[in-house]
Amino acid sequence: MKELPRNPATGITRRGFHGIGAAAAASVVNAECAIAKPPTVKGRAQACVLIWLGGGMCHVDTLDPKAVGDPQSNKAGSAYSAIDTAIPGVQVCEHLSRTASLLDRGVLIRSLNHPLKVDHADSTNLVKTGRLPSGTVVYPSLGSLISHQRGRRADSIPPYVVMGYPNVTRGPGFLGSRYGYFYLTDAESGLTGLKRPFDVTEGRQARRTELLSLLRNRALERDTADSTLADYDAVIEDARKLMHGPFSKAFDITSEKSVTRERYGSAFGQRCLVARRLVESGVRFVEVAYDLNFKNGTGWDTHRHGQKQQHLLIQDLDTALSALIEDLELRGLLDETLIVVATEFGRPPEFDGQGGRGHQSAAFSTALFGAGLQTGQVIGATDDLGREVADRPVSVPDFHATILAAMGIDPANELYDGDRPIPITDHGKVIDDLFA
Amino acid sequence: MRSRLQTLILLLLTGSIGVWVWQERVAHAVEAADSFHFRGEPAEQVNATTLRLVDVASTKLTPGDLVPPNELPNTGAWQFDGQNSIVYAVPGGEPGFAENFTWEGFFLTPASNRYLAETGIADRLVTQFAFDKGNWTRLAIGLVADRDGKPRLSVELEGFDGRSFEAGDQVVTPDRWHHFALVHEGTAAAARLRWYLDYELTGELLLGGQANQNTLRPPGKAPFTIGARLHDGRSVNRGFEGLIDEVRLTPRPLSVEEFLRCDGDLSDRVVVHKEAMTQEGDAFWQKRHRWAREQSSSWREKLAGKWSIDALVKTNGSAIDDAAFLRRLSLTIRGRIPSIEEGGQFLTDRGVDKRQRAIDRILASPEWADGWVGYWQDVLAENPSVVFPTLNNSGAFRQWIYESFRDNKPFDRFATELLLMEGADAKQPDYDGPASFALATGNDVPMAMRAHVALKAFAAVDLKCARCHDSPVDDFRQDQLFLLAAYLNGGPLEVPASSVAAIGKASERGLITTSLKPGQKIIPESLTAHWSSSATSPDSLMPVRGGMRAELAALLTSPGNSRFSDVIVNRVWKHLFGTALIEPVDEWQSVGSSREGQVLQQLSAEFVECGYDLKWLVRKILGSAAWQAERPLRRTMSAEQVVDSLFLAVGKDFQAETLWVNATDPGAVQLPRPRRAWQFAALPNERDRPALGMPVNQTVVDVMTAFGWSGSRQQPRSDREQTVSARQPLLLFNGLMSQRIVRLSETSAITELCLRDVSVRELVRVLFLTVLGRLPDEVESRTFTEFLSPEFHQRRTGMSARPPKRLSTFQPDWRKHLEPEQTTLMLAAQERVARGELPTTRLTPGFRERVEDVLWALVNSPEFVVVP
Repeated sequence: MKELPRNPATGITRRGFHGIGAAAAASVVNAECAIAKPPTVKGRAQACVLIWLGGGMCHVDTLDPKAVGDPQSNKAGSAYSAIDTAIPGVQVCEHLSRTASLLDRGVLIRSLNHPLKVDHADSTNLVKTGRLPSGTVVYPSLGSLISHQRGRRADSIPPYVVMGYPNVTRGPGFLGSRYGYFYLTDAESGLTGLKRPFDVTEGRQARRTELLSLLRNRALERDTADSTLADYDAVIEDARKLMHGPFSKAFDITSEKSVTRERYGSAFGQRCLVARRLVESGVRFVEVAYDLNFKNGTGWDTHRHGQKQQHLLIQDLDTALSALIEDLELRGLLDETLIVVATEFGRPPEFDGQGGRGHQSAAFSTALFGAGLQTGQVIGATDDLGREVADRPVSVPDFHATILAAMGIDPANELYDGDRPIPITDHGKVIDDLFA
Repeated sequence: MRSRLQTLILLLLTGSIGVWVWQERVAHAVEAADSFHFRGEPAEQVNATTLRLVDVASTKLTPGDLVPPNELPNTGAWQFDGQNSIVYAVPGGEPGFAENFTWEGFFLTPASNRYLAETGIADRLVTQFAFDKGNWTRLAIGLVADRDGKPRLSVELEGFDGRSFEAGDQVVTPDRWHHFALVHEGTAAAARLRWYLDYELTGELLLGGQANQNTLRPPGKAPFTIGARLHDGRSVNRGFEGLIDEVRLTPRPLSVEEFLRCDGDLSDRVVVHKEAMTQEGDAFWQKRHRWAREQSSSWREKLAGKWSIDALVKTNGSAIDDAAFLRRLSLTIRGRIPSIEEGGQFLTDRGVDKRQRAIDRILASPEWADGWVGYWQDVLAENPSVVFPTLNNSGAFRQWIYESFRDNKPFDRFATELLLMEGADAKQPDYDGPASFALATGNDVPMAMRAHVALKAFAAVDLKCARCHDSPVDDFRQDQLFLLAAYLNGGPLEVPASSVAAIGKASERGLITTSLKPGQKIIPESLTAHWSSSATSPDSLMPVRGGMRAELAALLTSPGNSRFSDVIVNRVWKHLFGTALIEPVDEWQSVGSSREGQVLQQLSAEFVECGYDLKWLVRKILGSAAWQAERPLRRTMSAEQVVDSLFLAVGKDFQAETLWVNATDPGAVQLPRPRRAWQFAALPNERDRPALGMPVNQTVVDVMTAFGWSGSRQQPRSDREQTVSARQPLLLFNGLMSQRIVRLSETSAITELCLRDVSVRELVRVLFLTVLGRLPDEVESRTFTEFLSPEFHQRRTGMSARPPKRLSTFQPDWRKHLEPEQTTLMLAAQERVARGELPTTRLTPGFRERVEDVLWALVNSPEFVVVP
């Protein structure tokens, strides 16, 4: 049994210290309460789909359109014309036409910003964990945080699934591997480890299972020294449930009507379709990475020539995202599902030498849909060319606090890294306007 | 009253003991009159510490060093481990070997090496580079398998205008010394390459002109290497595994008669493994350990014989059976299950001392090092990045850890070398040595991070809180950590605002204080002044060099303070038993007067007595009845144990990709193809770009991650999580790695097993022994025998084996990864990996599938993952 270290002088443990600290802090908070409203959690979402546009989606070319510029004459500005949306007076880029007509189901945040220099890995880590790196703590990602706070929605359904490559910015950090994710990289071939090998027929699987049952039973009879073997045997049973239960079926998009599959579009769209099925099956948090760089050669990291075909990416996103919103709404799930469209930073209105764009973290956009939020509004604004935040800056911790609140989690909660208290967000403030 | 910890910190700040530093060996090169002649010293092992750049021209040679080319008096050789090479830099323009030259030498490849048919040379004996106005050419002679899977001496010429590759005619016999020679004759426009195996012409390649685009360009300032090829002339790519000796470069085409000769039979040459340490270094540490013995004799005597390990550990009295003992021993020490041969021999051995003999044999195995690396990678936060470094990436020093254990380096010396952080420039991330410990990318004070890691590892002091503020729990202040950091920095250290500003809100509330101000300069004072006044420091053992770092290292590891040995003994105990004498191993106050504390102190004294010899300590514990008894709480296998055990059981190679993406960032490292699980690293795919994928590595890393391993080690970690999850059995049921393990391909040892003349009953016994390390009971034997009986007698098809192919030859390339073709190539490779190795045609499909099913069931039995 691990004993918490005690201060020899006072005899209190670190956790004990935190208890005292919290009491002391509470009085400070109460004093502050006279001025600011205490954070009350009103969100009611049960599940979250994070659409991750890795590389840095250009806000002025998508959700925050400005006057059109020209790479030839080096004139800063948006690359495309803007169109009206379902929110009166709010426009988005012309390639988001289907999403535009559904925009009243969502909220645009146009004033997200962070202080990091524009490195992909560092910025991704910040947006995913809500934390600047600290030398001594490995922070959990949003998916792990929500899994930890809300737990499983259904028995034997894992809470956190990633459709993208495994990496540390998606990881559970100090929360431990229990709050890690299942992942897949290809919607067609499904989840790693969930599907029977291609050369194993049902009959063969049955005889394998039979042989294994014998070994399991013999082992359980023979080995009763401690619970180690029985514990592992129990997760073998869990694994079998996962393989044969509703979770596994969620990956089978071939059972969808062809019209539905077509509506979702590309390979990315098919992953969004899997996301919807996962949400239906009871998964708490799904991350869908937009990863293919086929369409324009660079993905959302539209330096140089990547800009040329960027509209194809945007159209692809438009198709898949609007399909997901519509589909969830049709099934009555939109109110309890939060869709987050996020990226690590935006891009400047200026063009580089070859007509592409660099990185910009001082102002960029994100969007939230569903979750029973007060939708149909825009939070914050940038200056005339989208370089800086002009109104109501939203920090990454604020963004995190808002997502947590939408998921019914109190952003004032504290977590523990071993015995060290860590606030769940880095002093983030909820955007109150989104909650009734 | 001061706690033991505070005393330790006080010691750290004021100093009271001596410090000594050993000298690195000097690189060795011998030049003969008309050629360069490089020879392995007696029993020289090539490893990270011998990886060297030698400027041949500036090497001072005395006439006595000249070696008559045809006399080979020494019996030693370079022993290459497949990861390193010797690098010699030839200075600008000289010698002009572009047109006429001869390379030759002797080599031996062990039978354990596996060769797969490839289109390039995997195992390079000698590589010569030529640079010409930014263009390079690379000429290598080495070994590659032909279609029959047997090694042949081959030549490869690679340059910006293409690649030529040609395998020799003759097959190389493993475990035997061979002579090789490569003769280049001609001009840059047209030349002829001929190569010889044991003085017989085995291959020829025409260069230039009509025959071939490639020519060997005149070398500029280009290195050549022995034992590996270098990427960019700097880092080792794919190394030779085996022995090389007496390499000679002569600036003219030699005739067969002029080649190096060896008197007598080549196979007589004997190689003895020896610690790769300097004689001066050895002498210094011997002296220091003598002194340590004297220092610790008084407290050792007081404790002697008071407690025994057996009296301490409560067991239910019964020793585990032989099968369980061997499995526990092999997993704990070597990180993998015993082989079928070992298992069979051990179970039938009737000798009374067979357990002790097994212990000694396994401790003597080089795999003793493999069993420890993963643990110290975690504890020391070894965290290299294959792509762009992010937070707290160190360089790679895994190989250095491996070699330290391979050499059974005294543990105080291990800690000292680490803290000195010497070696090649730390900015060269490819250098695999203690200098790489100095890096902590993205960290505003890397040395504060390193001080935190070192104190946790070697002193069980946790300064995590003190990194950002004075600790509210213990009495460690932030300035103390920064003073330690300044010692590691080797001089003054300025406190960046980012290190103290982060706590603004908490400190306003008066909850947390900080003893530092932004911009404050921390100046460490030399501790030498305290030494002469200290009764514990002999004047004769003054430091040679190393400065502040050496002083800190000496304080931490000093025998004058038993903390270091206490902490290490406690860690070793936990590694062997699963639970420590004092928990948690990386943060504790004092030994205390408990029985556990007494045993710890006694072992600690003995550990000092034997010269910080880890193997000695482990041997003592393994021999105790307590260690060989039933455990109150067992553990499941670690990630490394699962992976290494499975591949060993079926005799397959990972066929892993080189951990390298040709990244533009100088902080990205290149790591060799893993042969053991600890050699994997976090894969470079945080951008979700398929073209950066490593399809084979991913299949193994998936399993390791599920079993608690993390390739990303931003923080030191002394305990892995012991949680079981459905992810683990799922991957063993259906994962691609598991599919490969189970598949009876031509390379599977199980295929060979099935082809032998055995009865079906014997086959079942052998399969159980292979995977579970025990024989089947009656019910199991009956059921599995029945299952395998259909088709058993007709199982052989009589067809010959198909040559094995590499699963994937795709290697991600950062500079090309945005090209759509790269994604296509990667996805194609991924598909090949998903299909796996082709099943053998030597067994009927029906029977093969039955054996695969048995193997699948055995691998997935809960019994497999439990460490007895």
